[in-house]
Amino acid sequence: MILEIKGINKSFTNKQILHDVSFTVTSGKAMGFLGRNGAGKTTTIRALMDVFAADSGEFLLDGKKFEPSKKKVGYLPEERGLYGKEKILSQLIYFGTLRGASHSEAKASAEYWLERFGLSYAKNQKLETLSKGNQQKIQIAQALLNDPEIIILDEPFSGLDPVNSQVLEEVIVESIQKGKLVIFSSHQMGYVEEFCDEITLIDQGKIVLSGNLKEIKRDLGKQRIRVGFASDQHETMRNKLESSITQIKVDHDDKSLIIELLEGKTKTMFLQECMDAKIELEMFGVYEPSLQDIFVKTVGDENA
Amino acid sequence: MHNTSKVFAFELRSILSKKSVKVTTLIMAIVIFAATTIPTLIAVFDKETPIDPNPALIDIGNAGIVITGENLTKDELVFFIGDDVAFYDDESQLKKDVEEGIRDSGYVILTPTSFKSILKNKEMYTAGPEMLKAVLQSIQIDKNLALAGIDPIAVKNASNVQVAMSEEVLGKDAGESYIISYILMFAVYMLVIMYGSFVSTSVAREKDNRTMEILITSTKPDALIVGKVLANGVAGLVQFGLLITTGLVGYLLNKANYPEFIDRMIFGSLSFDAILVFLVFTALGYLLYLFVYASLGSLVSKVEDVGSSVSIITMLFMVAYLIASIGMNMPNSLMIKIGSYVPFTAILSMPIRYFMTAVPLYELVISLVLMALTTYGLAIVSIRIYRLGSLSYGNRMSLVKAIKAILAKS
Repeated sequence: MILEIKGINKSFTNKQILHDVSFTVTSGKAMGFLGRNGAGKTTTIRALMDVFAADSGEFLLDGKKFEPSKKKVGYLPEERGLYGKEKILSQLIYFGTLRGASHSEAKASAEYWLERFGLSYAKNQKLETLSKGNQQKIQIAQALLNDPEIIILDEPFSGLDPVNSQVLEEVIVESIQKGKLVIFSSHQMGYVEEFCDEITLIDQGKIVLSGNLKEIKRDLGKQRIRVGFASDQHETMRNKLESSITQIKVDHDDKSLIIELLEGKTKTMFLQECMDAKIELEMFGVYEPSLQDIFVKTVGDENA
Repeated sequence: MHNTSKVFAFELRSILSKKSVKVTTLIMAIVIFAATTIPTLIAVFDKETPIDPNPALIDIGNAGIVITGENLTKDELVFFIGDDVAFYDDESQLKKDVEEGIRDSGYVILTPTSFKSILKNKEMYTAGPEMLKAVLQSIQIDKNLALAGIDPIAVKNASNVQVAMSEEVLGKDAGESYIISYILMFAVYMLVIMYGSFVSTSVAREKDNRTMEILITSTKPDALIVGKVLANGVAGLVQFGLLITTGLVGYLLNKANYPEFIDRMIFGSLSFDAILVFLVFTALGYLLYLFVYASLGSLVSKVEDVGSSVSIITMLFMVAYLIASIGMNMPNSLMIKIGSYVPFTAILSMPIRYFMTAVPLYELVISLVLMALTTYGLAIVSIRIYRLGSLSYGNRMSLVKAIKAILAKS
């Protein structure tokens, strides 16, 4: 399945929130829909889920108009909420049956996910009796009911501790391996970097980057190298490099200095100039930016 | 509409399993049952009351009397009020006894036609002074008649004329329908206000706890609102039915002690067609109000704002109640006739009119058709308002703004 989001625009009370948002999601590949808080992720997902209509643009699934009500879609909204005073199993069955499953199918599915998330013991408890983290897992379970073909998760990792994040990551990876179409949004880069095949970055309602994560990393790292010195020498060596070697831009992270080679300067030329300037390198390697780096570089570092 | 039944079943189970609903129903049932036993309690209480040996005496209570004038004697008074009252020689002692609660009241008779009452605390209705006034009047009339040479007893005999009266009501007797009309009107009032509030709160809570987004992406809004309205409607009728049954059981158990006129005022006008008219108009009107309450509940984001959002429809329903209440005393008035055609007021006005007076069939049909069409139309509008309001978080959306948005969309 290929889901195409094409030219989506959306305004609320004369303020345009989404500007021509377009990207593609393919089943079997993990798509991370990333952006700062308020960048437009939830608005895009809500328009996709037909919570409200987009002002213009279209959503196509395998070339045809995507109608969420006609497909098996699992959806975790950003605004979390279930019935606090209802028993967990009974409300999961209710949501399962509303989406077309029979009572027994919905029950089996609900029990499977409760078991998977280690919450079988609580199935006859009221939701409000669980901790926030466990309530979050019930929310995720409702999105996974009835074995959906398309899974749309808006900020699924928020509110989860590292152990539960790992469980969710496994579930997402497993769904992708089964060929499902999975989109999840996040502003927490650390969680999604490990298993994202593709990313789409949105900022102020505009798509600023979209594509295969490895290719993006390779492209962004193409003219960059890592050079290492003893950690207490970074500042000194940075000054030395900047004064001795031309056509470079020096940056750093907590591991090493990052050298951007400008205007056709090659790695060999850089190494040669280091040797000429008698600069001893402890480490020299290819620079591959982290998702956090890509995110910060693309959309700025506020709220990242 | 397949999902409507699922929403209906889930909501109904949810409402009926609420502890608050169970407790309220139980308390109301106990109150109703207790109310039906009042005639039995009165009968038991009356049996224990010693029979007044001299019923001709006028009872002015545990009173004390001081006679200051000379033209009235103690014996003349005792003849009318018996010798249970205490006669005092001076006013100050009487005041002291009233003050200390030894006497409930005191009377200082200044002349045969004037007296002063002494009361510790004056209640809204104090019968004693009026009784004494009547006694003094009677004594003075007898004296005046005697002075004119007329035998007072002969006058009393001549005045004692009993006129026998019977009547044949060809239509309906409003007097016989009064109690049952009032009971049913009040029950419907409670039903609409209570369950209207339930349904609007239930919708607002789904927005408040953010369940709404999952719901509207899981099924269509019409299934959600219709299922919810029907569930609340049925829950109300179940509770209402239980309370009516409790009342009936209580009545049947205590029937022997009910005075005949009460029996007549409750069941005198109950016929199959009257019950049918009541049930049909109540059910449709109830549904109409529930749809409006549900849509108004969707315009707010927090449960605590529901009260202000639904105040407009609650006020309208109170007007309907007022028209029906006034109409009970004037069942043929133009006001209740108009009220019985307007769908928002017909829920109460038409059954009241039908109970108390003859209503032509064509009027019933016109009113019913108007109500059914309005209910259908409002259900459609409510679904749209619900869909519009269901995801507008933040400030409360006004009804006018919501209707404008719907009109702009369509």
